[in-house]
Amino acid sequence: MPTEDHPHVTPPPILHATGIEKTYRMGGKDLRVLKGVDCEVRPGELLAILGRSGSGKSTLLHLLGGLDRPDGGTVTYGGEDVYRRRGRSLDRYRNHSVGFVFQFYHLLPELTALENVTVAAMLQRGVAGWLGAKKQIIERAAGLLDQMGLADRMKHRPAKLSGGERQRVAIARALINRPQVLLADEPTGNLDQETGTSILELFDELHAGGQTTVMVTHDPKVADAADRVVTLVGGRLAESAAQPA
Amino acid sequence: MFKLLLILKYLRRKLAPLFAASAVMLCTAMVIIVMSVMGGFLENFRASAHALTGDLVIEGPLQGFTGYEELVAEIEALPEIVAAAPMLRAVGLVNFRDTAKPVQLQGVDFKKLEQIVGYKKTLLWNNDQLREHVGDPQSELGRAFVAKMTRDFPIDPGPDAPGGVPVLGLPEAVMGVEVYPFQRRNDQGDYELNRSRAGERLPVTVIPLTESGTVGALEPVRREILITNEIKSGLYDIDASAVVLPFTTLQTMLNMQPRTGFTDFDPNTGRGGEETQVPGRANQVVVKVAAGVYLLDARDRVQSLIDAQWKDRSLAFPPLARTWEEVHQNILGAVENEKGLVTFLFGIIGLVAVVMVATTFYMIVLEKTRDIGVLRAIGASRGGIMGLFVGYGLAIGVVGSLLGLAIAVAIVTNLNEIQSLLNTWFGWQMWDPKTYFFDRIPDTVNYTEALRVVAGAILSSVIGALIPAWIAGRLKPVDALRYE
Ligand SMILES: Nc1ncnc2c1ncn2[C@@H]1O[C@H](COP(=O)(O)OP(=O)(O)OP(=O)(O)O)[C@@H](O)[C@H]1O
Ligand SMILES: [Mg+2]
Repeated sequence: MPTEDHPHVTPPPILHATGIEKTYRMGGKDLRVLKGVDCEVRPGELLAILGRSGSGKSTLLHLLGGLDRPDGGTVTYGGEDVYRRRGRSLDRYRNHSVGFVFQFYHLLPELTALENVTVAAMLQRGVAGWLGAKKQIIERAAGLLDQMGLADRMKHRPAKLSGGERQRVAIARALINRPQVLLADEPTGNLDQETGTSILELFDELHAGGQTTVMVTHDPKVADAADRVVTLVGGRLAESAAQPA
Repeated sequence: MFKLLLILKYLRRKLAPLFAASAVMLCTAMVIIVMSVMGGFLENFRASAHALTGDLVIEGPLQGFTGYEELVAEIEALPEIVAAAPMLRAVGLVNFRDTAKPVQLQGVDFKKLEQIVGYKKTLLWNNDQLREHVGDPQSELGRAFVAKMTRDFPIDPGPDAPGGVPVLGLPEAVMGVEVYPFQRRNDQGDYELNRSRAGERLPVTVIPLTESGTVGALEPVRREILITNEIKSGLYDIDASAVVLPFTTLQTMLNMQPRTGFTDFDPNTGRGGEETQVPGRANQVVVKVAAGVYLLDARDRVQSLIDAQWKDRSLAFPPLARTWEEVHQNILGAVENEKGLVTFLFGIIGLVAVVMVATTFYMIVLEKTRDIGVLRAIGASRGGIMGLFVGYGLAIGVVGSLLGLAIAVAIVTNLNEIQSLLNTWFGWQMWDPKTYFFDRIPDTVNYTEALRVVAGAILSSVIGALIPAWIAGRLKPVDALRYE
C-alpha cells in the first residue's frame, strides 16, 4: 500500500483482473486452466507473464484482451468491468483500448503491410468516417512502419515479408489506434534469436516511450527487460521478481 | 469501411470467388438464353397468330348467316372498331394432278383484309421473283400471268371471259406454301422459287350447304383458281392448309351469294315459284380493334351487338365473337404451359445457384476462419463480419450476373451466326430450320426479363452467402484464432 513513507506513489492499475477462472470442457472432462488469477497492469509498465507451455498464459491474455469470457472473476479497465460490456462496446474495447500482438503475427494475407495496419483503424469507422480520417491514419501508419524500419516494405504483402518484418507490421497494427495497453502473446516465440532480440528491443523502445505492455513468454531471458514478472503456475499467478525500473 | 477494402481484395485474390462468380454467371446466362429463345418462340408465334387472325373474329355456323352486311356496318360504326370485313371459311378439296388434299378455304376481300390483318407481310414471293418465275413474260399468256400475279390484291374476275386467254378468266388466289404436298425446303430452311406453285392453276372443290346447314340436293362445285403467290405465315397449320380466294368467288361456289330465287311450290295452295331475293351468307367477320382498346372489352361490345341483332332470329346460336388469343387458345395455351414449366425449372436452377453460392461461401468462410478471428480480435463487430460476407456475396452476385447477362446477350443476339458456324465447322445443326417452322432462331433479348433474372441471381447470391456469413459472424474470436 502506498504510504507517505514511500517516495513512489503507485498509480491505480489500468487493467485489473481479479479472481479469473477459466475451465475448458472437452468431451465431458473439465480442464481448469485458470483457478482464480489476480493480476494488475499499471500504467507505463512492461509486465511479463511467464509460465510453462500449457499453463494458460494465452488464455489469460485473451481474457485480458476481451477475446473470450471468463467463467468467474472480473476484468476491469479504467474502473469498468470489461465483460459487462456487450457486443459493439466490447468490440470497441478490443479495437481502441487494447492492442493485440500474436505469436503467429496473424496478418491478413490479402492486404499489404500498410493496409494491414490501417485496417485496424477502419474497423470502427464507416466509409464517411474513414474518408474523413484517411489521410491522418495513413500518415500515422506509415510513420509507425517507418519507425519499425519497414519504410520500403509498405506495399508488400505478408507472404513477401520475413517473420520479423511480419511481427513488426503486427505491432504497428496493434498500435495504430493508440491503445492504452499492448498485449503481446509470445511475440518472439516464432522467431530466431537475433530477430527475436530486435523485436524485444522494439518493445523496449515502446516501453521507454511510455507504452503500457503485457507480454507473455516462456523464455525467462525475455523477461529481463520487464518491469515486473509474474509466473503462471497451477492456474494461479505468482509474483516472481520485481525488476528495478 | 474495412468491408469494402476486404471485399475488393478477396474478389481479386482467390479462386473460390471465381468459382462462385462463374456459377452465378453460368446460371444467369443459361436462364436468360433459354428464356429469350423460348420467349422469342412464343412471341413469334403470338405475333404470327395475331397477324393472321386479326383482333377479333366473329364465327357463325359453317353454312353462314344472313345479314352480315348490316352486322359489319354496325360493328364498323362502333368507336372501338377500326374496320370489319365478312369472311367465308369452308372445307375444300384441291387436286395436284392425281393427289387430292383437303384444305381450309378462306374467302376474303383482300383489300379489306390487308387493312385488318396485314396479310401482305405473309406473302412469300415479291413481284420480281414472281416475274422471274412466270417464265416468258413476253408471250400473251406470260403477260397475263404477270399482270395477275403482281397485282396489289388478287381479284375475282367475275364470270369467265368466254374465248379469252384461259388464265384471264380465273379467280386469283394465294395458297399456304406447305399446301403443296411435295414441298421441300433447302438446308437453310428456305423455300426455293423453282418449287413454287405460284402461277399454277389449281382445281378446288367445295360442297355447298343449304341455309339449314345440310348438303341437301346440292352437288359438289369444282372450279379452277390461279395461284398468284404463296403464304408463309409462320404458323404451320395455316401454311399447310390455307387457300385464300376472293370472297365473292368462294361465296358463289358455296351458293351463298345474294341472288334471285324462287319460293317453294306449295301443292295445297297451288302457290309458289314466285321470284324472291335470297340474301347472301357469310360465316365469319374479322374485326380490327382501335389502338389502346382492351380486346376483351371490344369483344364484349361486339358480342352484345350481335346478341341484340339475333334476338328475333330463328338461329339457335348467334355467332360468337372471340379474340385472336381465344381462337388460338389450344396452341397458345400449350406454349404458355410450357413456359410455366420452364419457369418452374428455372426456380430449381435458382435454388441450385443458391446452394452453389452457399457451398462456395461456406468454403470461403472456413478458409478465412483465422482471418475472421483476427478481425474480431482487433475490434471488428459480429455485424461487420456478417456484412463483410454478405457484401462479398452481393459483389459476387453482381459481378457474376452481369457477366452472365453479357454472355447471354452475346450468345442470343448471335445465335443464328453461331448456329451456322457450328454447321460449317462440325456439320452439326442444333437447329434444323426444316423441322421448326420459324426458320430463324429467335435472337432478341427481352431486357425487362433479363434484368429480372439478374436481380434474381444477385438475390440468390446474397441468400447463399447469408448462412455462411451468419456462421462467420457467430465465431468467437478465440475459437477462430485457434482454428487450424
Ligand atoms: N479452446 C480450448 N478448448 C480446450 N482446451 C483448450 C482450449 N484453449 C486452450 N486449451 C487448453 O488449455 C490449456 C492452456 O492453454 P494456453 O494456450 O492458454 O496455454 P499457454 O500457456 O499459452 O501455452 P503455450 O505456451 O504453449 O502457448 C492447454 O492445456 C490447452 O490445451
Ligand atoms: Mg500460448
